Formats: sequence, structure tokens, C-alpha cells
Amino acid sequence: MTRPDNGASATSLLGRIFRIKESGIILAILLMGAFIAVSNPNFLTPYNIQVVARQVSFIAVVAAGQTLVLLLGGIDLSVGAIAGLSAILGAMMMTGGGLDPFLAMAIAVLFGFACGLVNGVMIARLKLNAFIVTLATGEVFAGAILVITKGYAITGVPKVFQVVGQGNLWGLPIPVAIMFVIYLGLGWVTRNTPFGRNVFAIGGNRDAARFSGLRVERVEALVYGLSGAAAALAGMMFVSRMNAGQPTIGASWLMPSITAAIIGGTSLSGGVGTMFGTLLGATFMAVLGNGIVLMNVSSYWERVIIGFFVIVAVIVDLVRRSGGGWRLPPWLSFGRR
Amino acid sequence: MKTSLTTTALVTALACLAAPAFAADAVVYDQAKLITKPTKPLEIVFIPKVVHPWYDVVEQGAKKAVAEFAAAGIKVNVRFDAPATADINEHIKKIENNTSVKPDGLAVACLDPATDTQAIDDAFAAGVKVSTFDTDCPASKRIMYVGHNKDAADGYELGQYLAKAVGGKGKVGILAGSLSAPNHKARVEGFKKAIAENPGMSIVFDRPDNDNLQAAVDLTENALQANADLVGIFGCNASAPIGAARAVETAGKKGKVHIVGMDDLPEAIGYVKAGVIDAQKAQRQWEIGYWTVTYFVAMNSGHTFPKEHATGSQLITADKLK
Repeated sequence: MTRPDNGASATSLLGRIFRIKESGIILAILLMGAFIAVSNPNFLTPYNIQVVARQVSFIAVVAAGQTLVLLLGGIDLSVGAIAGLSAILGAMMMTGGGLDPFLAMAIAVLFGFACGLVNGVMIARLKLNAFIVTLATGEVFAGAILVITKGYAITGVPKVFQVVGQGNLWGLPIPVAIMFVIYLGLGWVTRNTPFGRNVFAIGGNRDAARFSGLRVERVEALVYGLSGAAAALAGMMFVSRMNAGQPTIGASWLMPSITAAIIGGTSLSGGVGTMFGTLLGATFMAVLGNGIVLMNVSSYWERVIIGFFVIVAVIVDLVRRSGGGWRLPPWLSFGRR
Repeated sequence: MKTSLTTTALVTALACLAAPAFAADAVVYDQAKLITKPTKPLEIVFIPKVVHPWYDVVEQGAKKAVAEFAAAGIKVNVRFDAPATADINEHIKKIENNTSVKPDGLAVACLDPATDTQAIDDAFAAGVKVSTFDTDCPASKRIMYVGHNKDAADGYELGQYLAKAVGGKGKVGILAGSLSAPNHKARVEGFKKAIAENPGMSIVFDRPDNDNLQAAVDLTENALQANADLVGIFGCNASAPIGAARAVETAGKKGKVHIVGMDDLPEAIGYVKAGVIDAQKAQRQWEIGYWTVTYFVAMNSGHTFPKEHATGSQLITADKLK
């Protein structure tokens, strides 16, 4: 879906790099990284790189599901609450329930899928507004967490389970490895399978997709289910990372999951975006958050800068959708398709 | 002869005892040499639970210690890096990112001890001196805790004070703060214990205000509507008693509804003076900032330091403010 080769620029290496949809965000990450590294050498220590990579992984896994939903033209405001509720249930099954921790994790992810499916069915079958449905179910799930836990953390997570959130695989933190598997998997699915193409088709034009015989409802419900499963997986990764099922796991994951996708070039109106872009968006935010601490800048700037980048990304999206005569310089063209 | 022998023995013994004193300069092991003045500026980072005016007073205490060390020729830089919301994910990120900076001291106010423990242990494993303040993570590898540790006793004392103020009978309510904050929970439990000792009293509402002023106002307004005969409110955090006082004053129920609560934010003190709030139990968080910095400098100079330093709390009433 890249733009057709149109001229001399494509022959130069620079031209080829700029034709990569995510070149803008990659450049932004590299520039920011270089700037931070010059300011504070601790940025490039293996310890710090592991810290940043692990921070990316939790948000990125949630954002992977959210990206699918956004590609569909929907939105899932319940991801944080699904992550929290699934994580609490998973933690309870492996502590109080005495279940094998990895089985408990699998059940928790399935539970997250089921929660997402509830959203999906209401949105696809009952034609309810995605924003309202997921806002409401998010409240239900978040409330259920407090009903179940009364605010207390679930402790006593088995030691063997720590590997999921704290272990390393050839120097790579396992949460980061899980994240890569998810992104490679979903990246492949969205590009190469009928399901993936259907998601883009529905997001691009729902009516046209329906008239062309796509099973719109089924795809929609499945996508929300996957979003719930991804959130639950991130929740369980966090349980393992922290050895505890904390009632507020996921409480702050919603906005970053959407922001990562938008910064990565996913359009809120559906049909446009890539998994790779979202991964870069999540990376951008984690590097920024880390760099702000390392450079001794007030943390409040983090939100200002992220807000600024979201606006830039949205303007780029608007310009692209208007199909207008003018184009932004390639270094600004976040995720143009 | 016998006497002179005894005298000789005594003199010898005394000489032996006194010898180390005379020979001090010759001793190789000198404890004073264990203390070394830091040669580079010390970086100390505080991670509060959330941005909140309560921590401004901690910062004032910390800055006082910094000024004192500066006068003594020791440069100390103190930075407060609070998450914008009381959220455990943000809190963990703050601990992780600040560990990468490799400060000379990292003081963490635990938002959720069960979860923060792992992050503190990781920072410790990375070679950072980690202490806790405000709220402890006793199960973690933190090397020091400076703060208050009698939360249940505070709640109990305020419960007793309220019971006395209302004559040991009537309906009271609780603004319970954050359901996942251990200090809030402990205070509420202490308060409930005191109320349970008064058979004529009952708790008619118990709601989490999340240490949010607007929520405290709204909850109190609702409670006053639902219970016209309410006689008392306990606010278990810094925002709750202020919110309760605003709602009670607006409803014209000053004196009819007695309020007890936590901390000494200026607005709360104003309400105590005005008689809207009966009593506040205030921590001495200025001390927390002062001693945390002092001890971090001490440990970076080779001094000893306490494992725990209880900073205590005090009861503030209109009488005491006169």
C-alpha cells in the first residue's frame, strides 16, 4: 500500500527511507534518543535500555489490540479495566485458587477475550456506539475490580510465574519478547490474511464492506475480543512483573494505548494505520518519559510534549484524508499510507 | 611491704588502662577516618505518591537540610518527581526511570506496598540506596524508612475525640480516601474501632473520596441530604476534612455536624480556627524531608543511620491554635 514510485527521489537511499510510512516517527525517536544520550550517558546503559523496553512492552501490548479496533473505525475505552479485572482474576486463581500460574494466565487472557467479545457483540449486533458501550463496560469492569478486591492487592504470586514479567531471554526481557511476538503476529495477520484485509475494508468503508459480502459483525466482534485478550495479557505480564495483582493495574493504560496508535499514524476514523507504527508510538512515549527524568526536566513537560505530538499526528492524518493538493515534508508524514 | 606491692599493682593496672588514651595517635584503626566528606554534589530524588500539597511541606524540610549542608560545604541537589496521578503504573515508571539516573539516594513514598516492593528491590539490586518515606514498604529491601507509622492510632484517637464531641451518640460518616492506600485504610479501621466502643453511635456512610477535594464535597453533600441527623464526619486524608467542612458550612450545619480529619493544609487549619472542623491530626512531614536528606548525606559520608525513624503526629484543635 505504499505510494507508487514517482520519480528520482526513490532512487536515492534517503528517498527510499522517506518512503517508509513510519520514517517521521523513527526520525523523531532517533533524534530524541541522541539528544538524551548526549545529555546523560546513563540513557544508553544496558540497565536503562531494559527499563525503557519493558515499559514499552506493557503499553504496546494493550495498544496492539487498540490499534486493531481503531483500524476498524471503532474505539475501546475498556482496555484498562479489562486488563485490571483479568489480572486480578488471574492472580486470585494462582494464589487463592492454587491453579498452575500459567494455566491461570491462559484463563485470564481468555476471560479478557470474553469481556472484549461482550463489547464486540453489543457494538456489532446491537449497533450500539462503540464509545458509549466500552465506556460503560469499562466502568462495570473497573467497579467489579473494587467489589472483588475491596482495594486490597492480591499477593503471594508463585515465584515460578515471575519469569513472564521479570525473566530474560538471551538478554531480552521476556515482556519485550512477548510484545515482539504479538506485533510480528498481528502485523502479519493484518497484512496477509483475509481477516486483516477485512479489518481495513470495514474501517475504510463499512457499508461498502457489507455490500461486498463481508461478515462485518463477526469481524467486529472478533476484533474487540482480541483487544480484550491483549489487554488481559498485558495485565498478567504486569502481575508477574510486580508479584502482585494490584487493583489499579491498567487504570492508566487507556489513553497511552490510543495515543501510541495515533502518534504511530493510525487514523481515528478507521482503515489507516500499521501495527509497526503503533509500536513506534509506544516506544516514542516511553523514551520521552525516560528522557525527561534523565535530563532532569519537570515531568509535567512529558504530557505537554506528548499532547503536542498527538496534535501533529492528527493534523497529518487530516491533511492526508483531505487528499489535498499540499503535502507535508516527508519527515513529518507520520504513517502516511 | 604489702602496701607498696598493692600500690605498685594498682599503679600498673591504672597505667594499662590509661595506655590506649596516651597512645591514641599510634593506633592504626581510627574511627574518625571512616567518615569522608562527599567530594561531588549528592543527588537525592524523592518520589511522592502523587502531586499533592502535602508533599510541599516535605520539600520545605528537605530544602532546609540542603541549605544547612551547603553552609557546611556539602552540595546536595534534591529533586521531587511525583506522578501526576496516583497510579501504580506511573509510580513504578518513576522508580525505574530514576534508578537509571543512579542518584545517591532515592526516597519512595509507597503507593501500594505489595506492588512497589518489587520496584524498590530492583532499584536496590541496581546499586541505588533506596529509602521509603510517608508510607513504608516493610517487606522490601529499602534501607531506611522515615515517616509516621501509627495510622490506625491516629484514626482511633480522632474517633475518640469525635465521640466525646457528640456525647457518645448519633450517626457519623467516613470519607475513606483511596481504597488501595494502606495508611487511609489503617486510619479508617482505627476510627471504626473507636466508634464501636460507643454503643450509641453508628456509621451510616463510608465512601472513598480518593483524596480528591471535589469528591469529598460531593459525597458530604449527598450524606447530609440522606441523613438529616448526621452528627459527625471523619476525613481520613488531607482533602477529605476540607471537602466535608466546605459542604457542612454551605449547608449551614456548622456546630451541628462535627468534623475530625487528617493533616494540616492551610485551608483545614482555617476551618479549625473558624470552628467548622473540631480537630485535625497532623503528621510532621517537614521532619520527613529534613531527616531523609540528612540521613542520605550521612550514609554517603560513612556515618551510621537508623533503619526506621518515626516522625510522629500531633493533634490540632482551635485551643492549640490560639
